[in-house]
Amino acid sequence: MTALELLLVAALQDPVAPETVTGFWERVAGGEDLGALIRALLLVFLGIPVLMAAARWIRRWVGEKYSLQQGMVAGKLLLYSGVILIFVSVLHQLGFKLTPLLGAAGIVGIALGFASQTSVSNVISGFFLIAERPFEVDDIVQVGETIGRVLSIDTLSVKLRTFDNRFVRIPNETIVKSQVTTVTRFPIRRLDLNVGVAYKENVERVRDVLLDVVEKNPRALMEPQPMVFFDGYGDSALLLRLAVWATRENFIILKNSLLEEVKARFDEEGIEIPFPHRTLYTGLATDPFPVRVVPPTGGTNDGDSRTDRNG
Amino acid sequence: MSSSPIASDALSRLAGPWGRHALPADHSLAIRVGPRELWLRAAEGEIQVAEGDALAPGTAVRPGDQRPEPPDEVEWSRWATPQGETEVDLRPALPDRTVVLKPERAFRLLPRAEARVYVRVPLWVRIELPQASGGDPLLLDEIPSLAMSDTWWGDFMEGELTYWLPTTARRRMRPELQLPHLAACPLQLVNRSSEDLRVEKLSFRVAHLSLFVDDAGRLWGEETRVTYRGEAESSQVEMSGSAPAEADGAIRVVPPRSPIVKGFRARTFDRLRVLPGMGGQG
Repeated sequence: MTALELLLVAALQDPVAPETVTGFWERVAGGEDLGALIRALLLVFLGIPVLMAAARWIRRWVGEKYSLQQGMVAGKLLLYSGVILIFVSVLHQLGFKLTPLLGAAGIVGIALGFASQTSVSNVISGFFLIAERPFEVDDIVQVGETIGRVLSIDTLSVKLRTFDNRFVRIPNETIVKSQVTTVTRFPIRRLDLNVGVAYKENVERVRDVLLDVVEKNPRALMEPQPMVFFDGYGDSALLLRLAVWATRENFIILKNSLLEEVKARFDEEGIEIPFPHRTLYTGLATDPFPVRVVPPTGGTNDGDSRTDRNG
Repeated sequence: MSSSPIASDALSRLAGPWGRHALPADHSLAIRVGPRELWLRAAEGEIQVAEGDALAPGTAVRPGDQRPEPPDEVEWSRWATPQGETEVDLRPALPDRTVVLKPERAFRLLPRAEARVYVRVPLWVRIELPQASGGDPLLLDEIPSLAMSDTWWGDFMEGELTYWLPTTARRRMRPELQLPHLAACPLQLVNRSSEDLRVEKLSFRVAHLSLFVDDAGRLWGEETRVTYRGEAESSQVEMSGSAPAEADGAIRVVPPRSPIVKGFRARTFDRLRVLPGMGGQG
C-alpha cells in the first residue's frame, strides 16, 4: 500500500478498508467496477465545467439584478457547494464510506487548523465582511494609507485597485481589525476648502464672493446649503473655510474647478491671498531699520557692504 | 422618452424656435431659445450643432438679435447622417430630472385649504432628425434652454439629484410671461392635514408630465394635484393626464418622459431646516 492509502486506512479505522481501497484498483484493472470509475470521471470532467459556467451565469444575473457584491457571493456559494457535492458523489461512486471520512475530516481538520490559523482567521473574517457589508465591490475604501476601488471580496482577502493602477491585496483579518473608511458609501460628500485672506480684507465681502462662486459652479449642490465658516486668526491670514456639497461622482471635478474659480475671482475682486510673512517691529522709540541695496556679484562695486555701517 | 411624431396640427401651433428647420450648408443657422443660442449647419453629410450663451458680455440684446456665426470658443457636436439629411426638428421637452421649486417667498396653507400656483419650468430643446420613411425621428441631442443648478432632495444617506428652480409661484399666469422656452405648469396644493403647511420648498416630478400647446402657441404642463397629509406621511401626487383648464383649445404635443398610470405617493414638501450645510442632521 502507498503512504496515502495507509493514512486513509488509519483515518477510516475500518478493518475492511484495506481491502476496499487496494481491492478497488485490482477490480478496476480486471475490468470490474469500471463503470463506477467512468461515472466518477464523468462527474469530474463534465460536472466541474458545467458548474463553473453555472456559477458565472448566476454571478452575472444576480450582479445585474441586485449588486456586483451579491452576484459575487451567489456565484461563489454555487461553486463551492457544487464542488463539495461533486466530491462527495465521486467518493460515493468509488465506493468510499463517507461516515468514517467525516470522522477523519474532523481529525485532519484539527491538524490543519493548528497549521493554518491565519488562513482560517481570514476565511472567518471574510464571512463577517460579507455579512456586515461595510463596503461592496466598486466602492472606494481607505484602509490605513491605502485608498482604492474594491475589485473583489474573496475568501481570504480583499483586492483593491489604487488610483495609480496598482493592485493591492489586503487580508480579511487586517480589514476586520482596522479602521476602514468607505469613501463612496453615501451619495453626497462635503468638500471643505481652506481659504486664507489678508487681514485687510472685509470678511463679509469675501463670504459673499465665495458663495457667489459656488452658486455659479454647476457641480455644487444648492442643498445641502454651502456655508462659509470663519475659523480664526492665523499668523498671516484670516482663516475661512468654504463647505460645499457635491455628489460623490462630481466631488473631484468640483474640487478642482472650485479652487481655480476662487483664485480667478479673488484676482478679479482684488482680494489678497497672503503668503506667510513676518513684520519686524522694534517699537516707536527706535529709528527705522537701515536698508541698503547691494549690487549683484560682478556688477558695479559700490563699496564693501559688509564693512560699511553708514547705511 | 418616446419620440413619436407630433401631430401636424400640434407642430404648426408651436411658436418660437420649435418646429422644423432647414439647415444651410454654407453658414450656420442661429436659433435663440430663451437665454441660449443654438447654431446648426449641415455640411458633408453631417449635422453639426453648437450652443452658447445668447447674451454676449456687454451686449444689449434686442428681441430677435442673433449672432449668425458662433464665437470661436464654442464646441461643435457632429453627427454623420444616414442619407445626408439637411433638416432638423426642434421639439420642447420638460427637464430630465425632478425639479425642486423654491418659492421666493414661502407661504402657508391652512388646514383644509387649497391653493393653485403656477410655475414656469425651463424647457429642454430636443434636436431630432426626421425620418424620410416616416418612422420615429432620431434624437441627436437634448440641450437645456436655461442651466439650472443641481441640488439634493433627500437626506445625507439617500436621495436623488434634482434641479433647483427659484420661482415666484404665481397665483395667476399672465400670458405675456409665457415665453416660448418656458412651460406654465399649474400646481394644485391641497392641505388635508390638521396642521399648517408651510410651503418653502417642494419637489416637482416633471418626468411624469405631458406638454400641451394651446391655440395661441403657448406651452403648458398638465395639472398636478398634490395632497398633503401631514409631516409623517408622504403626499399624494396626481397628474390629470389632460391639459389644464386655462389652456384654451390645447392639444398634447409631447408625451411624458416616464408615463404613470395613476397617482403615486412621494415626499413632496420639505422644510429648509432638514438639510443644513453642516451635515449633522438628516
